[in-house]
Amino acid sequence: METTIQFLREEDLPAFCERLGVESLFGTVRQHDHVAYESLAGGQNQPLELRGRPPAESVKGFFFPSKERVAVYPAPESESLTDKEDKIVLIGARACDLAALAILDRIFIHGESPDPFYQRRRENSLLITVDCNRPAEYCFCNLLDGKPFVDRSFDIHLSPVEAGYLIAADSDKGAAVLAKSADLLTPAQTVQIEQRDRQRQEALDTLGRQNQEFAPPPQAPGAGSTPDFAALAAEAGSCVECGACSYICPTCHCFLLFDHRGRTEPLRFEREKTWDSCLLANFAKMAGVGGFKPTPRPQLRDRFENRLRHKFEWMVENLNLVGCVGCGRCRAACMGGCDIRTALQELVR
Amino acid sequence: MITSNPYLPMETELLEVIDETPTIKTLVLKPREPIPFRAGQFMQLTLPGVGEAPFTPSSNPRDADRQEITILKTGQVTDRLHDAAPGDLLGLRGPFGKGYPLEKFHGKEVLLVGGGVGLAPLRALIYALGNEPKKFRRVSIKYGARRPAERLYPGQYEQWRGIDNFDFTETVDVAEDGWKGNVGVVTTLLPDDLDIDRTNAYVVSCGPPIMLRFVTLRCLELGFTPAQIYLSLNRKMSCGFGVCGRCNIGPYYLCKDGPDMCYEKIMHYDNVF
Repeated sequence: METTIQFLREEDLPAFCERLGVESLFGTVRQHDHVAYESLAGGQNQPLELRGRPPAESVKGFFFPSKERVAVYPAPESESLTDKEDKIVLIGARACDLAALAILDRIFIHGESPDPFYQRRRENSLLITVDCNRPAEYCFCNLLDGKPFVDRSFDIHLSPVEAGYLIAADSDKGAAVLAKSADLLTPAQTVQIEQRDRQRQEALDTLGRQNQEFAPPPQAPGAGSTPDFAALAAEAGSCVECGACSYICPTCHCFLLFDHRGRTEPLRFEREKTWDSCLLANFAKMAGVGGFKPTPRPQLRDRFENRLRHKFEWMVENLNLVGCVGCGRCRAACMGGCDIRTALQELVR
Repeated sequence: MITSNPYLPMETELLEVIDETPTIKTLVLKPREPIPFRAGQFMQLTLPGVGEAPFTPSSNPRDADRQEITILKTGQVTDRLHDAAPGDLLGLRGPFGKGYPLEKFHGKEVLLVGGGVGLAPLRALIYALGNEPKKFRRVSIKYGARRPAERLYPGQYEQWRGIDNFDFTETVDVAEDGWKGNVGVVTTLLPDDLDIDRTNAYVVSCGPPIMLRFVTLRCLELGFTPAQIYLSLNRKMSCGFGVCGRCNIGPYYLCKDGPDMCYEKIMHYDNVF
């Protein structure tokens, strides 16, 4: 659709948020030394932080929560777990978050068996993304065909400029929201667009500089390559198997299903779905005779390699997309200092 | 459009429990609605409040309204499933996976090699082959159990031998109780002069991983190609549609691409067995 670029004054941002008219409104705010999503419902909030570093967490958890009830059985006649209306608006997501959601959409909506909970939340969501003008030192979206800004397939996108934001819609949902705030918007000036473009180029230059030692992976990583397993093992050597990389990853989607007696209805049972990590030793352990628990990947090195090859080789084979968007949050979260960029080099060498 | 809930098990009544061996029982199940399945496809059986475990039905795929699942008592869920009694309410999700490629076997000789409780998924295949025996040139079943008392479905062996182009041979690892039959692991039933047309046959094997490994190596020695060997690799499959991440071998998810995999597809990946 045709995107018209307009200007929203900084002081009109609260009014703009107010007019979104949803209870589930979350935006990025400063918390100590990092940026995090906080509920903006109910007035009296911290100011939005849309000009600084990227948020520490992706938006994955809003759509694929760390723990959720996915079944009650025997199934009650009337209740449907997906009946709830839960419109949600998120302000402050970055290009990498949007790219990651596109991947999760493929898995949870367009896969063999759509996940109705994820699908419902996605359909009821509106994302207001923002230029990532100050990439973190661990960011490497540029190595994976990413950019620190969004120029297509968004709902609403903001570009911070002097005294306000350039604002544009690229979906019907987004356009409808902008229409409600038409009186707050003025046409963008050429000088503002020039500032936006300058800032975007500066962010690209920063990413280029900080990642220059890591060559971009070839188009089909792993195809015909022989990974250097010794180097991979060395990288895995500093892994402490906490699983943080998987949990913080905006595209990691391994999960565990477990059942328990119903908390509110003792005659029914509930099934929960929680985040899990393929790096953890117990992840794929099976029942075995005499208490022996066989697992297909008993070595940490094998699990480490499995996680990387899934993202960079097998998702390419199966879905024609790379399972990493270069947000670098795994690097930031890792207690062992593992850097996915180093491991990636070994995989595609 | 919101589709149905893939995590929700279908209410299923336990009709009957059959004691097969000291450690194996068969549960006869009646799901609320019929569940059509192909031989080799698996289902997630829910024990309410305890959890799910994946099993390939051992019954005739022609019977959609009633499934038999044969279970070795070997872990948290299966221990408790062995305590289940007729009338208990369980749950089923599925079927999942591709199942055995029956159409490929048309006009061919089919060599089935089973070990222990691995005969359970193969029994569904034996039923399927037996439903239309003329479509297959020959069906040769080789089965190994640890001990005579652990032989699964002994009452059916004569029936299988009685089908025109079927044969059935068995062995036990350890002879006991005046056993007069073959003794040795199941690969001893695959001698150099094995009477199978290797250029026109498929091998299907199901059993413990160590057995699958040696059966595969033996079949390769005998001149079968990796493309002729199908292995039933029933790992810790959970979601059933290739998302939760547990059951992959390289890019393949056993829950959706298997659990019966052509060895040629997976032979280059680590940790197959």
